[in-house]
Amino acid sequence: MLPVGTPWWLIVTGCLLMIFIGKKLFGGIGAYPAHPVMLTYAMLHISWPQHFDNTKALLHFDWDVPMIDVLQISRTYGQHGEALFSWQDLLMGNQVAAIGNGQILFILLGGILLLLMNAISWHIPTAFILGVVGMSAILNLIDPGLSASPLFHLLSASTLLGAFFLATESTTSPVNPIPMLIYGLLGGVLLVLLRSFSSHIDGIAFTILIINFVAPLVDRITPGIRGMELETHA
Amino acid sequence: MNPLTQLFNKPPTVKLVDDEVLNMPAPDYVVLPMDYTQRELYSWQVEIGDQVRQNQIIARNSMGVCLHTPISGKVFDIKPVWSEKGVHVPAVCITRGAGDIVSTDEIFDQYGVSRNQASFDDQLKALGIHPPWLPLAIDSVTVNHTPEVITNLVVVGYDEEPGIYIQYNLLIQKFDAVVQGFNLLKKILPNATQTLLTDRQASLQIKGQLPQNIQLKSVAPQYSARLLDTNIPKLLNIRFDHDRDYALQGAVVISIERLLVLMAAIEDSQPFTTKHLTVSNKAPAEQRTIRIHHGSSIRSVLEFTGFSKHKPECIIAGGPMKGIAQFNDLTPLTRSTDGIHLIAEDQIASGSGESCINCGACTRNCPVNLQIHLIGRYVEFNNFNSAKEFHPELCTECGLCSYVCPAQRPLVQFVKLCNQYGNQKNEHTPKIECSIESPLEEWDQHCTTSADMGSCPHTCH
Ligand code: SF4
Repeated sequence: MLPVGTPWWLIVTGCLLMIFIGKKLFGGIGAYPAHPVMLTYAMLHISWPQHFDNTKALLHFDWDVPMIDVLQISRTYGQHGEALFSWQDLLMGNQVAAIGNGQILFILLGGILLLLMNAISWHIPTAFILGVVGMSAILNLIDPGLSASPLFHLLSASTLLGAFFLATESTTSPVNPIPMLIYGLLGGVLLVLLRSFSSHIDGIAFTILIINFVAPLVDRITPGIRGMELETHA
Repeated sequence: MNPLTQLFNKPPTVKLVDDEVLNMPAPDYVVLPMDYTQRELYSWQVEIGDQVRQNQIIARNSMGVCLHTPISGKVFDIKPVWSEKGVHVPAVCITRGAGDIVSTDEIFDQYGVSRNQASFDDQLKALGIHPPWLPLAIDSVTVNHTPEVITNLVVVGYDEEPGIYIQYNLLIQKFDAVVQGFNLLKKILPNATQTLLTDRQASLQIKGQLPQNIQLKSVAPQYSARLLDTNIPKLLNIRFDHDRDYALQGAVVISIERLLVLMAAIEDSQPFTTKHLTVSNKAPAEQRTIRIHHGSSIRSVLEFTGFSKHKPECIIAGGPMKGIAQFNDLTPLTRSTDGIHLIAEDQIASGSGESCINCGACTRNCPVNLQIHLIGRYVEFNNFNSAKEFHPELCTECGLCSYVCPAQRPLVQFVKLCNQYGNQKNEHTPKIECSIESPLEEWDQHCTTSADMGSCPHTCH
């Protein structure tokens, strides 16, 4: 999730922050209220913003792709920036994004594997993707110059990583089916909104943090308990 | 275990139907607890030192239902023992000795009415059977609760616990008797529609052989689809009744085994003194269905079936999901035990109680839709009042939550703890350090072989 060429001390600081503040301070695995990785990422991002620019990190390289962060392109040119990429390019990872974010095909495969192994349930990723597609379609309809098409949002940067690997983290996500759907949907919508209107290029960290804090609230929507009717009956 | 390999592995197949159900011979001694499931409380009518004869009435409960001794011999003790439900209850202990069988007329003499004058319900009670059309509690019996008010009869032809095959064995082996039983109950419960509830495998085997008037319903093979507490209300379209007192709601729900016992009592006047049970071993998977006398000890059953060769570390009375682990192998087996499940030392799940990772598997699998992940956490930190808000008392103790929990948390135990201690205003750790000292252990010390039992000089009260 960090850009290419991140200095080593940033990584060490991040590890320490994640373990001590993200996890241990709250009581270890199972007790933290927000995704520790995202919490640390957000802290680093706010503290050293100059190290979080994917475009700048690749200043001295020249590959056969547009050497600007994909999101930067879509932000500046909206749908017109999209012409630089075909969807196959995006899928195969021919895009400038942070480490690991852009390998869309492999992230997709990994996500499907998680689903098959029953490690995560389908609710959150599906709702998250629906949220991204829906929100970006609305923005795209309003003003194509402002926001790229849904497919572009889906296949660029950290969308799928967030849908399959970050939002589904069990400790910080709801457990009942309907709350999971709401949680995922909210995440998708928020991600597109942050990408389009916030001062951060990729709002994934803040999206995940915000929906993490919403999770216990939405999780109060529970299915009715069988046998509860008896109480009024007796 | 690696979930990836689980994707491709099939569970091992075990032979389900035994060629015949073995009858276990009468044991050297029996221990008859006076309390079943803490609902039927019996008061005994014998003294220490009495000679008793097989089928003699030795106890009776408040409804008038009797308990008979399955063997002749001498009452050598009356004292508290651990029952298979893990509670301390008084029990009558009898060693085997000489004596003939009590005749039916004598049973009725003992019961206090002559056979010709006794009502049909009383006849059954004298033979040790609670008439299934009567509610379980005496205060809910009203004058007009006659067999005519029963509109549904459900005979359960499968065992909900995995690894127990009593009903399946009986259904396949005694199919004609089961059909006769249905006909008999048609006469007793004239207004009831009759349903046989089985699992898919059995229903395929008996399809087309059932008379027209009996509906056949089958359930899916997964454990969660087999739970009677949710299946029966769905089938009958009645409320989910936590007390399972279906008689009050116009339904009779009995197992095939009870149906056969009922038939034996009505047609041959046989008192209820034997029970079927399935002995199973976890690994290597092996199971055997046998018929035992009430009050036989687990040890005698294991020796008879040869399962003691597995050197079990943990003995569970009941099935692997709802069963209860036993303190020792001298616990008597009663009318309510359907099985014994053995687990070797290297097979025991540690149940180490790691902290919850909030994965929600427990909550999504709960057949009653309880928020188990929250209840478990609250109870873990002794916050019983908050846990109570999520209605843990509606738990059916099916055990699915503990089974699916990746952190191996003892969730059913948490719920039970909450139900037992939650009512006390107790913000501190409840006192659960009870002495796990079985009175039967004293037998172990003084009477090393069961032959010593009768002549044990030590009074272990
Ligand atoms: S299954 Fe276990 S780890 Fe998962 S939520 Fe329930 S108690 Fe927690």
